[in-house]
Amino acid sequence: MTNSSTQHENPLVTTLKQDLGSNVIDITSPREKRIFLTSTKETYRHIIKYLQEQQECHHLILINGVDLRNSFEVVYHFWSNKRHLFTLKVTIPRDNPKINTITDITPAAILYEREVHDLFGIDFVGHPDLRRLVLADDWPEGNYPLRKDWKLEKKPPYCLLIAARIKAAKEGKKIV
Amino acid sequence: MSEMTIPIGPQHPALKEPVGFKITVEGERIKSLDLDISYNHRGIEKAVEQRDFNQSMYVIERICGICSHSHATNFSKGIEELMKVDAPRRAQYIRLIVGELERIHSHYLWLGVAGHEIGFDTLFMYTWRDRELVQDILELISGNRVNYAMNRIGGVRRDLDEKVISYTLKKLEILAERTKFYIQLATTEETVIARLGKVGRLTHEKAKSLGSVGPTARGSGVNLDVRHDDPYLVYDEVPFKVVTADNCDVLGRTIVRAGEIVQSIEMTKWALENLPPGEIRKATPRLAPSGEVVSLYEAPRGELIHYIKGNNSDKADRFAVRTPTLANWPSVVEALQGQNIADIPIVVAAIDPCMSCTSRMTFLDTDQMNSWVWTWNELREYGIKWYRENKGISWGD
Repeated sequence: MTNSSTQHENPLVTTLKQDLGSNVIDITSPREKRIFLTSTKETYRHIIKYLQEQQECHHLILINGVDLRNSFEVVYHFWSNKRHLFTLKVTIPRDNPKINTITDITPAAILYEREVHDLFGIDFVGHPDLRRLVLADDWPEGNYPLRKDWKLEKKPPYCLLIAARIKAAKEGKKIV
Repeated sequence: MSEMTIPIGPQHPALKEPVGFKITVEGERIKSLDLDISYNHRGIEKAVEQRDFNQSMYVIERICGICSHSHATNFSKGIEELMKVDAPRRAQYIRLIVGELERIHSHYLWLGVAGHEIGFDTLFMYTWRDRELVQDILELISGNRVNYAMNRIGGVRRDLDEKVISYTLKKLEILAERTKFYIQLATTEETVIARLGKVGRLTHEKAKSLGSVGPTARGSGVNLDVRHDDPYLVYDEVPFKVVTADNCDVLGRTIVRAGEIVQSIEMTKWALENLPPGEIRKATPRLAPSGEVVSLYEAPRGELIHYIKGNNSDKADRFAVRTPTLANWPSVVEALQGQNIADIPIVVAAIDPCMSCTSRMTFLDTDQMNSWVWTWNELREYGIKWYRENKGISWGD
């Protein structure tokens, strides 16, 4: 396989366009075995079900978030049994970052949705257990480090928080 | 019998790296398991998004200490795909050779750890002694025992000369002999079979639905190997077999890893003997066009994914990593149901978990509201000084 080849003609794209119709905004195949789909918040579950049933995409490999500045994108990656990699992109508004969970149709999504929730503050409605996954227990609420407007400070914010608590305790104040 | 909850970790003698388990047991039997993996988050994704590609290579190399080459190769081949350049064939072969040597060393390391977890420390001593053969080869090729720093965008940094190739081939012969012994041991030795067989059951269906990857999935008969399914580098040219086992338990995962060592030795030999001549790196543009790439790699622990989004700059707009260990945690929760407490170390070790640990110390000055970081040497000197002054203990210089 070479990277220098131009746009790849994939017959699967035509099939997908026929089957999914207006549910999907865009389908591209930049190279062999890679298919990128763009969809909306309303129809993405329908597409995932279609991929699972018709294209044998039983292996969810990753869910990740992307900060598009004005909105967020949730990206789902699936392997099909015929070894095509399907990447489904769903855009959600920044001021209301909510999307329905897919844990009911794919149990493998549990940890990935927790990670995206942790780092981007995207709420997965209907997730059975949306606790913290990777950030520390005392990480301050409302800090989502992978959002682009969250700047990496010289001092980790939780260190300052602990420092403030210890100082308050030394002065005999009530610890918050 | 009433149920009881036991916390294990994050610091515990049975664990090699920090992870927290909350185990609900009924007597000796495990009813349910909850895990906390938040002790090692280092913010590498954010760090990479703020550095250019060449700087990022140094950060990415340090995501993992055991499979550092996997991350660096996966990132550089992803960026090359984004830039639409191809690394020279010789560079791709060298990447493959180092990648397979890394797999050998990682699986040898795992065999030793597994031996240790089941109280078979002789196996641990044997495998770690033999692992030194691979470590010597890697040191000769790259100058390092870990974090080989072989990759750069557009190729590799070091070439292989005749001396290195003949040394490697000679050492691989010895290693192939030793591996035969370990395969025999894993399949016939009574201690191993009694201690690993029927422990940590993970059915074929569960392995699939929970999205397991790597030797964990292949030990349950799931034929999933990125090298075969989506050939990258030159894996479509090098002959090899995907090793699977139908045991669906820890023994199956052991057999898969032992079999993979043999395959990796054969592949390395083949690649060394068929190494094409030519340049080892190409000049690449400084900027990557906008677009996105999903780069996959079969790391020793399984399928590794980097999602890279370029935006016409020298930095990645978004860099997401999914390491194989994260994909395999749900399978541990599944495999531990109904097992004995004593089986926890080996069932956890069976996915070869890699928490990627780095240690450093952060200080807080509560009066000044300051925080700073100490290096290892500063910490060591402080410790020696403190004990000398306060306890009268001297460790010499």
